Amino acid sequence: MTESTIAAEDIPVLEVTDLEVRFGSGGATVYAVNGVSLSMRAGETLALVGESGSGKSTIAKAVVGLVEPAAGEVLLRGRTQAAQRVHRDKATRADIQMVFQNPVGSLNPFMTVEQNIAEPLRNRGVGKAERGARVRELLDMVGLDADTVGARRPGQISGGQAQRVSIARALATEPAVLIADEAVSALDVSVQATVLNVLRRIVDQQNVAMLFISHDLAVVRNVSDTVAVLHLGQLCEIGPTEAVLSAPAHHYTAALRAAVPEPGVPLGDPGMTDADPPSPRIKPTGCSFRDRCLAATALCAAERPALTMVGPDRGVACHHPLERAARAADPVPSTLGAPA
Amino acid sequence: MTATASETLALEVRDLEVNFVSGETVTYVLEGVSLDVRQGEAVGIVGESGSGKSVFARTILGIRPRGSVVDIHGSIRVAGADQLAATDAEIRSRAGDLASMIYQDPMSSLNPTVRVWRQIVEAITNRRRVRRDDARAQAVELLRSVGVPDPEARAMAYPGEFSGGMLQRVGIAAAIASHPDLLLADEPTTALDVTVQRRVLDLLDDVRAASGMGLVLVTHDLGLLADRTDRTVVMYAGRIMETGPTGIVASTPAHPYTRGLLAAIPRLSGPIQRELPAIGGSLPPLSAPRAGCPFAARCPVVQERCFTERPPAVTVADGHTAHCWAVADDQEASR
Ligand SMILES: Nc1ncnc2c1ncn2[C@@H]1O[C@H](COP(=O)(O)OP(=O)(O)OP(=O)(O)O)[C@@H](O)[C@H]1O
Ligand SMILES: Nc1ncnc2c1ncn2[C@@H]1O[C@H](COP(=O)(O)OP(=O)(O)OP(=O)(O)O)[C@@H](O)[C@H]1O
Ligand SMILES: [Mg+2]
Ligand SMILES: [Mg+2]
Repeated sequence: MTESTIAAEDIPVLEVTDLEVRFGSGGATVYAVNGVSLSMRAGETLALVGESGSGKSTIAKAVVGLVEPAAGEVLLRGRTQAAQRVHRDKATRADIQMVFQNPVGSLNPFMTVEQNIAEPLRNRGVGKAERGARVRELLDMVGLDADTVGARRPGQISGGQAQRVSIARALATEPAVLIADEAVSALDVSVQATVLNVLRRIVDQQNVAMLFISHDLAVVRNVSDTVAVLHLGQLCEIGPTEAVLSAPAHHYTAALRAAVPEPGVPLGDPGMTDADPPSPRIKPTGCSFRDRCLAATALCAAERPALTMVGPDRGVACHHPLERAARAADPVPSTLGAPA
Repeated sequence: MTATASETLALEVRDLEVNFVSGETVTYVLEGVSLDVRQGEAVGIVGESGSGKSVFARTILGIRPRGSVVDIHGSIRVAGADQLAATDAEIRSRAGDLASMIYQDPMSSLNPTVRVWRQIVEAITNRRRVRRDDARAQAVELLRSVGVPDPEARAMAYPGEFSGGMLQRVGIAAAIASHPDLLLADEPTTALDVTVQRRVLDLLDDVRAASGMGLVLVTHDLGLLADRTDRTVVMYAGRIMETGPTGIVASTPAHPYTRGLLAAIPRLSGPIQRELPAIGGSLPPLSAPRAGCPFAARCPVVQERCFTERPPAVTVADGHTAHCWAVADDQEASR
């Protein structure tokens, strides 16, 4: 978005405020999301990255109303949305579409590929002939031929084909918010490029706000404007994608960045200890990354670092952020104590 | 296993053809695929979505799709045992013993109503007689080794309570529990973040080194292959386009499809690409056998005969082969 953007467009299309989600209860409680706030404007792509189990899909499901938050709100164009999808009106439901992480499971196995994509259009009252044409167009956009796969059922197509069918279905109703949960992860790089180019055009031309969940940092770098790094249900770092990835401020972001295999480049130092990730069943205290962090101190165990703005659009939740460490001669004062 | 175990190939596939017949329609999925995997060797398979990688892996394992009749030609041997001649009962009884698989979609391979530790135990006890308690402790250990936090508690959970990536790790634990001769990993790390991905692949490397297990790794992540596989096979529309040592295929690809694929890899450095370099066009319909080269319609160096004559296997260098008329011409010219 440019500086000259008019005021109306400055109202976020989607906002998530202080979201908390828990599963189970008592000793078996899983603290999946622990106070996450996000905001997205029209035409913006926000990438959500973070390790497996960090709560990415759960945030996405809370946005579409498939899990009920323990606290926090989801706002669409400034209006608070009912926690459950069934309590939201039809138009809102059509406005927030999601491509699920498990493509085969999210498609109706008893319907053909064409019927699966036509379903949201039918719910919207689009006529049969128009539906047929639109389904073809959508399949073509994601590089699939309606004559070849249209009449098959989800069990009779490949993983990547199923993933593209769910993308086509999510795009059918021209949503204002598109959530893509690992939506291109099952595609080879060439088809992935085709699909990402389509998503990019749709975001630009239809002014869609896209929440793009992915663990592929190279993809994230090329498609997103902003990146939010999640660790155990908390934001570690958020900011303009290129700035965050080229100079991470949080040690976890740096470790993620270092772990990316690139053709022809030997794997670097992991940049963290090999301690197990903490259990999501223990209510997080302090910094959730401290056990694996090479810069952790006693402070990190005692206090949860707040997300602090370190630049105009850049926030980091770390007591010893990397940039500061790099600037200072002595990165971490030894008086702070031994690593926790 | 035969007595000459050290000489037996973990996998030997010859001219495999697979057609799915449902009613009137025939889908010609695999059109003559051959592949050898030595014991302890890791072979990567990359290729266009829909080109037959998963069908190839499932056919080796003896899994046939429901609702379609499958017409198979060629031969498959796993650790010397003929997989195509085996009856369903034989396949079932040795499931996990000769070959096991990590699936692209972990949810589909696990039973949602059974606690995960039991599913892993099933895999362990299928092969050897182990006491229940031991098996359970082993299941917990396996979960720990694939990086599931709090494995004692998580072992008691049901698959639906896991995140996508965590579930994939359960699938991996179940697949290696039985110490198979051949592990088919169909995009095992697609759902995993890079730090966990690394850990899981390290684990597969260790298992392979310790047990001599052969590994077939289907992946879209070409960066990952470099460190993890000895050889790479590039598939397109049911055929092998190119095969060779991984480093060579990645650095000096011979086939135009491989070159297109490598060019499409998004990069973490260099200029940001708002428009990523895709290969134009799409996979040909598999409703008919492909005449000539299946990549012809999208190929930047296409010739007339590519549409009609099947390209020969051209040896580019020792162990490096490409199926391409343009490559054949180059070889001819340089001779
Ligand atoms: N229905 C559920 N019941 C219990 N726990 C759950 C449930 N769904 C998710 N969880 C737990 O909540 C946490 C967050 O899960 P989530 O699926 O959001 O992770 P994720 O970041 O999407 O991970 P991945 O990258 O593996 O998909 C995990 O610890 C997961 O096991
Ligand atoms: N039951 C079936 N009937 C007809 N065609 C099928 C059936 N199952 C799969 N196919 C087709 O066979 C081809 C190969 O499928 P396969 O799942 O092996 O692809 P893949 O290479 O694994 O792709 P991906 O990378 O997307 O997972 C696809 O074009 C698919 O549409
Ligand atoms: Mg997820
Ligand atoms: Mg597949």
